[in-house]
Amino acid sequence: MNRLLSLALHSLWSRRVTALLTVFAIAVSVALLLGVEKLRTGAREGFAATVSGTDLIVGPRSGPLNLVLYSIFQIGEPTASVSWASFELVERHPDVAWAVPISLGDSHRGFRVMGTSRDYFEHFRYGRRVPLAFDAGQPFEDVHDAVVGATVAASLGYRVGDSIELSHGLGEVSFAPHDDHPFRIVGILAPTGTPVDRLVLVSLQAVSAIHEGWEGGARSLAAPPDVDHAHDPSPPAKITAFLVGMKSRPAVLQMQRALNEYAAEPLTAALPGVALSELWRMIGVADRALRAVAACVVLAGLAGMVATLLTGLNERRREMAVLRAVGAGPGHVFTLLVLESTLLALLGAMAGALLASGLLAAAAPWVEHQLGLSLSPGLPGAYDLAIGAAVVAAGFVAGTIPAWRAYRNSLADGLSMKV
Amino acid sequence: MRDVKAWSLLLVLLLLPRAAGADGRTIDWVDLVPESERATYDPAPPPPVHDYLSGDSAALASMQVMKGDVNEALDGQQVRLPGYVVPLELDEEGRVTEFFLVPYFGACIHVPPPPPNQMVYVVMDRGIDLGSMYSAYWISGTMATRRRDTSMGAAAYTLAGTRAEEYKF
Repeated sequence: MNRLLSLALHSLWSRRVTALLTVFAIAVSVALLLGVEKLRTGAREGFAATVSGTDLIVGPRSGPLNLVLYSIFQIGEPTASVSWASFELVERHPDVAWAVPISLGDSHRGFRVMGTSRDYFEHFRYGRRVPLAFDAGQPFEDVHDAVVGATVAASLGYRVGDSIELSHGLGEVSFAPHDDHPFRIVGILAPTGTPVDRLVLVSLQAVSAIHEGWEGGARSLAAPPDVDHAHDPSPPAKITAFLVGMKSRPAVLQMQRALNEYAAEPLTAALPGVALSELWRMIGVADRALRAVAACVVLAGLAGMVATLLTGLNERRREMAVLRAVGAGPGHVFTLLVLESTLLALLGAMAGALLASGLLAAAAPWVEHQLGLSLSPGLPGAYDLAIGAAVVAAGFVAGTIPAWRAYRNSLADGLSMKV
Repeated sequence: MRDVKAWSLLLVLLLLPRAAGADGRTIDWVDLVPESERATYDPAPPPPVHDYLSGDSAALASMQVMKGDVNEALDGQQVRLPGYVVPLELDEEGRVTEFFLVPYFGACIHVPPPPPNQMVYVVMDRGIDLGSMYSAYWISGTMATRRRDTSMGAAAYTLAGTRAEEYKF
């Protein structure tokens, strides 16, 4: 066996260009499969990690999915609003640990502005219950203070102390700026890899204040904006939604039920975890398709290897014949060829794993920045090992095809004059 | 070829009793009531309550009827019991590790809990992924007649759960 292995290695070495190309083809396909899987798990984890520690998201009557999309992912528009009275009712309930109001509807150069309370910085959690951290500055204090997410700060080049203007509506360009109410950046959040990075956070009072004199939907010419009036601490009449943390798990369900049945105002209370997994089930089809494509590429790689070995057989008739002449039986020839294909597959799988981890390590910072996905490099997991083993096994099985052909070729085949 | 058949038959014969035995005896909620009380057993759930938002969070639990004894024969038994899950503790990945198993949907949430001998406090060895709040589950494990009192209600039984399987018709 050892001698056969060394024979196989030497034989491969003598055809190193073809062998290398075969290994390369397999390596690329394996790297693709592993890379897709890494991206998939990264996306899934990042997705589920968008919000954690929030037990309920409460908004106007709509679907839970819709509610989670606009309140957490900043996708889509809120359909209606929630009265401040309902928020207070929930906030004062003895089972409620905390409640944080959010108010959407304005933007700053394409980034959404979210009005909230200072409690947001304290209670909002993402990933494994990681709280929000500041890269610079601190939460807003004054009505005209703003805190920006990491992406906002990076792409617009903002620093603490800069002055910005917010505009009405959620479009990238606005011709209706609230330039009568400039804001000052007091804090920049550390990157989270969640939609929070793309937010401009201001106080609820600020949202009311910038709409002061805009009640008709456009700037009123009759009433000049009264900035001092904005310091009025009275709460807004309406908010977009609110996040709730409950003191105990069963209370979450009680509260959800009660809010969904609340007669005084049509509300929807969503469990973020349930809504997220529902959403993932919907978009998860795409990643299954990706996986299937990657698996097909591995199949193509292995088919290519079989084709190369089969064509190679013709050229190696003399090699086989010489082996047979010096005493190798047909079984030895069979084993030799199976060994060759298994070796190629093994090398391909290892090179593929290296290629995948190298590419991922190189691309990780970019992916994290652009897509907000964190790709943990780490050691190869059970899945990677299983893929490697499957590829090697497939190489072994595929090798039996040329091996069988070579096995059946007679001793005389390679020695006859027709070669 | 005949060998293969013989071997697979043997394998099936070996595996079958295991698959059935590991889950324990399938019981029903009436089995949780002692024989002497079964004549008056009424499985109908009480009507729902709608005043949670008023702030009296203990209202539901206080409506639990504290009547009935446990069936001592179940202590230490391997059982398999179907019911609804009221999550009490979750692990980091959001899987339910401790919960009340109850005979009707909504118990402790918007319907008062059933009597303690119709509530089972389950501690799973591995957390279970709740597909939907509305699904019922078969829970298998070792039963104990140990009482657990919580703010949500009292359970007269504790079950060390080893297996959870969605209830399908």
